[in-house]
Amino acid sequence: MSARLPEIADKRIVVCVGSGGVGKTTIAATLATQAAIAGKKTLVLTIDPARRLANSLGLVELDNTETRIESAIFTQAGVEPRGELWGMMLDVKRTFDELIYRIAPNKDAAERILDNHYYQNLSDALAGSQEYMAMEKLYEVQAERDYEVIVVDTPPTKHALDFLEAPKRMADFLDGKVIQWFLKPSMRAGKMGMAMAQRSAAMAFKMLERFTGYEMMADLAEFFLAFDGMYDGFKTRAAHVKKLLGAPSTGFVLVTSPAYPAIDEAAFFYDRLTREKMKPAAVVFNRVHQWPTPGDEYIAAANAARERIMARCSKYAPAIDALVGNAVDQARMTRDDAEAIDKFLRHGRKQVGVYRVPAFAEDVHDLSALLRVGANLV
Amino acid sequence: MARNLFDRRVLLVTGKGGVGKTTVATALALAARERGLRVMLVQLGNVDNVGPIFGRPLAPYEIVELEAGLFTLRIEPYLALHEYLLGAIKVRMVVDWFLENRIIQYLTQAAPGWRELITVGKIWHLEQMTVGYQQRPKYDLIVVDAPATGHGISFLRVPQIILNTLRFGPIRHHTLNVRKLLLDPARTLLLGVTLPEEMAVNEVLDIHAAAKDSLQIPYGATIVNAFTTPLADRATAPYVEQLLADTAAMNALGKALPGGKEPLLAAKETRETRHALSQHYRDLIRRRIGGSVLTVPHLAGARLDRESMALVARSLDEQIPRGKS
Repeated sequence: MSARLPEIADKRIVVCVGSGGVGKTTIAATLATQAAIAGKKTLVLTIDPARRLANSLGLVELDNTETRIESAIFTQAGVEPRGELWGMMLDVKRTFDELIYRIAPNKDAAERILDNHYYQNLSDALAGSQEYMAMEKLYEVQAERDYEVIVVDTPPTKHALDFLEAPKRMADFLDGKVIQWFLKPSMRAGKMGMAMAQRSAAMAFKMLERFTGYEMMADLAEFFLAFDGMYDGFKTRAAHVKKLLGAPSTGFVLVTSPAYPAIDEAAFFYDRLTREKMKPAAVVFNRVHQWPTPGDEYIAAANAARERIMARCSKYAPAIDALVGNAVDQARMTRDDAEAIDKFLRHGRKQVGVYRVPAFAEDVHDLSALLRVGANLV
Repeated sequence: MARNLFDRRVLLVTGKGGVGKTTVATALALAARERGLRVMLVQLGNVDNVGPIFGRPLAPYEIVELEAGLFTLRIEPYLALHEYLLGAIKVRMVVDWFLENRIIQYLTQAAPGWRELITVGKIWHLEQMTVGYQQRPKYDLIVVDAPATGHGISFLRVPQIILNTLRFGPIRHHTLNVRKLLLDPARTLLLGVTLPEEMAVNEVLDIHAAAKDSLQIPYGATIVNAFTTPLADRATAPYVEQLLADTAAMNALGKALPGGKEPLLAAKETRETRHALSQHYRDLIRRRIGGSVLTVPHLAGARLDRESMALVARSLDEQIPRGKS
């Protein structure tokens, strides 16, 4: 019962990646549970958890608090954890606020940002803030807490790898050069004697104001100005996060369903992570249809038999058709899944752990179900 | 109560990533086209999901007539911005110079909200386009496949935020028009797509609540994709029961099949569990959201191709009444 994925057994940080709807949260929770059972003090950090699963583990709100999963819950499921399992649900806005307090030169500067209505209304929409905050929280927790294993469930973004770029994008966003334009009205005036590039920028700026109106530019200026002096802080932080993700003690687990288009996206992520020198330690195919007999043979034999028996037994013909047809459908799904997985693995994506979790007929929403998932991840 | 979704102008297809938004949006577009409408299928975000279905890659921001009466466009914010500026400035060279300026480039990368705003602005623009001296709409129906993010509806929130912060100016003026379209139940409907699964259903419940409370965008229907239908239809079901009770017939069946009768029974049980789960979530949506709840049957071995889209379109068409609603 204390088995874990060997590929990540020595990792302190495990990052689950994959496109939306493939069951990343479930896999992250399973890997964390296994680590806890094996004796590690483990945290699972999640963004948008399945509520029933979270509730059944005693997690209540997305509020950045670490909650210990009570050992009674393990006992009920028939296991005794040798370590501890903690869960935390990310509050994006609060993490952002905390980060600003951390980086701002003083409390006033921080509050100026928190009070800005652009920040208040649009911090969700700020370039990839969800994935950025997930990484920020991960960085903070690993630096300040004593968890032996931290499993992160990345946000369901359209580009599942946005979290790699989000910190850098945030730093770019606060690039000093932009802020300067808002900071120094003289530069905007486009005076004679300025360098060509600056004069050109001044003209562009004026043109922009024509479209947006003075009011919007003033608001925007206030927003950018509030961040003045924080660029280096964000940049340093971004570099730290990047280093952490590339460290040997960090392992990526790519989660995908064998269905299209998720599996094609997974192939893209795999290649991309490999290029970034963050090659996944393991690939988990989730919700794989598993039929007891190999798909193709069953389909051919059952279809042939179906015709024969239906002809012989006309009273039951539609019933036989429905029963056998259903079995053939499931055999076909099994075959399609197996083919999709083979195709994925053919393209040099083989030198990692490959795991298949069957498609359960029921939702996974308690610890016993997680343990059933986990039985396939050893 | 089912309603005719096709007598509006804009259908916004939303839902959690991976639930089949593109499938539903494409099938709705096909079904509407079959009813004689000129349909524009809009993709947001920079992944082309529609192209592969029709066997041709779609370049960003190019209107393509996929089939007679079925058009498509991928809205790319930068190109939409270019078009918008060209409409205002008229001189391509000036627009190019403006957008290539380093400061403007930094700003367009950094400034929050403009991508969302220009995207809904373009949807409004498509809705406004007319042809002929009678000024009839160029596209009768615009079906929007919303982006596959955790919060696919956040782009619909931006116009209100802009209006709250801007008291005058050209942008406020445009945004008011956009907002009017989004709020108009005679023209716009928000549709929630889900799978019969907990997380996807939770998201669609959230979307419905947001549509009602904060967005105030009229909610049209919920579509449960990959709904597992019963093993047998109503006429056949009693015969299936009889057959299962008939030991001799079952043994004969088992002998003829590879692996005996056990795989049949196991597959039947799986099917029934999945059907029960599908029903459970459909009923939950009926209770919690009400209104129109449509289902798209789970198709074993279906690919994302034109052929399966036609099947899905037919299934949706059967559930969408004709005439005024």
